[in-house]
Amino acid sequence: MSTFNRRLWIGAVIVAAFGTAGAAVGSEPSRVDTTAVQERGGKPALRYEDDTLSVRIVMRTPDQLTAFYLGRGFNRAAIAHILETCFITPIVHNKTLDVLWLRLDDWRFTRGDIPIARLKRDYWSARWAESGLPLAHQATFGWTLLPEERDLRPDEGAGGSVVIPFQDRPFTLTMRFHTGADKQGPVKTVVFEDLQCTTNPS
Amino acid sequence: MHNQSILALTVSLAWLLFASVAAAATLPKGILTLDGRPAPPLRLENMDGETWDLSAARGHWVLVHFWATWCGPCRREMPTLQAILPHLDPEKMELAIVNTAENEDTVFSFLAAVAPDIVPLMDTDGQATERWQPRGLPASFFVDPDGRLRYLALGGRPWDTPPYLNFIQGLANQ
Repeated sequence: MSTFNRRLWIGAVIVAAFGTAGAAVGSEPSRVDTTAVQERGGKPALRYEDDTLSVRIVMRTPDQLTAFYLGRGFNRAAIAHILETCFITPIVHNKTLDVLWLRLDDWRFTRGDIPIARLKRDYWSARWAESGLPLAHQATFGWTLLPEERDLRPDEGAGGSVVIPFQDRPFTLTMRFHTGADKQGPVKTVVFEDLQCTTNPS
Repeated sequence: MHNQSILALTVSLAWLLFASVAAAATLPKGILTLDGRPAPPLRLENMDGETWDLSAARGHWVLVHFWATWCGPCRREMPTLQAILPHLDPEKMELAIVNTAENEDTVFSFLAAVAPDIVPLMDTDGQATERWQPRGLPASFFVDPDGRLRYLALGGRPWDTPPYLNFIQGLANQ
């Protein structure tokens, strides 16, 4: 098995738990489930699904990112900025009959005990100013990111990229989802462990 | 007299509740009712260079649809919009298909294959889409004859299937 394939089989552990709305933010969720499915044939993807939501994560390789954005006319300087980073693309689907809150500030990237700061939209605005990226391409890029906050309605999904600085070691993504129109329902936590920023196949 | 007022109020509220539940029950899956706020301005050139202005569309419904060729659900949905065109009277229900921030070559090469009768409005810098604040792409808003936002479709929908086509035709025939 090549190094790349070994990296695809990253042995991710997905942990899901229901906390309570009253639980303190950052408290350790009770871990109740461990499941991981690696998509066959191609892009590394990880899935979690239960009765309330499904999450699929795709890790984009540098070649995929370059092809996508170059194909849409992005200049080389902009693509160079993109390739300095690590794109994680979750696709979240609300399977409840209530509102499921996608709020990126409720998500945590960590490596061990060290938090990894997400590269938010203002980071990209500064990079696009440096690279002279036209407004149209800035708009396209913005639509390829996950929204910062979205009240996912029953049966509604959202997909898009979340970006962190490139990591050369595995990291964990802890997703917390509040539920209910007033965010007072149970809190759903899904943890993807041992994620890795992908490199191009050698 | 006081009791009669309370009874009348209770009956009215019950009727309102029933009417709203009944209305919600008739909506196809993934269609949300909006609050009727005025639609944001929308004035763009289409791919033939003609200017289209939402404010000139008073008196009939408009389906304002935002999309891009790189968006998978948009690509799957577009043929269903093409398919409903023959079923719609544009004087009752107009389609405003807005491409978000792409160039004409990209848009033409896609639409020519899957939706040749659709002439999209070109939001070339993406700023019109930003003003409408869709929840994502694709997004479809239904604007009523008074220029107010009445419904929103979540994500891509199979517009050529009976629940959605009946819904659209029902609005057009109001």
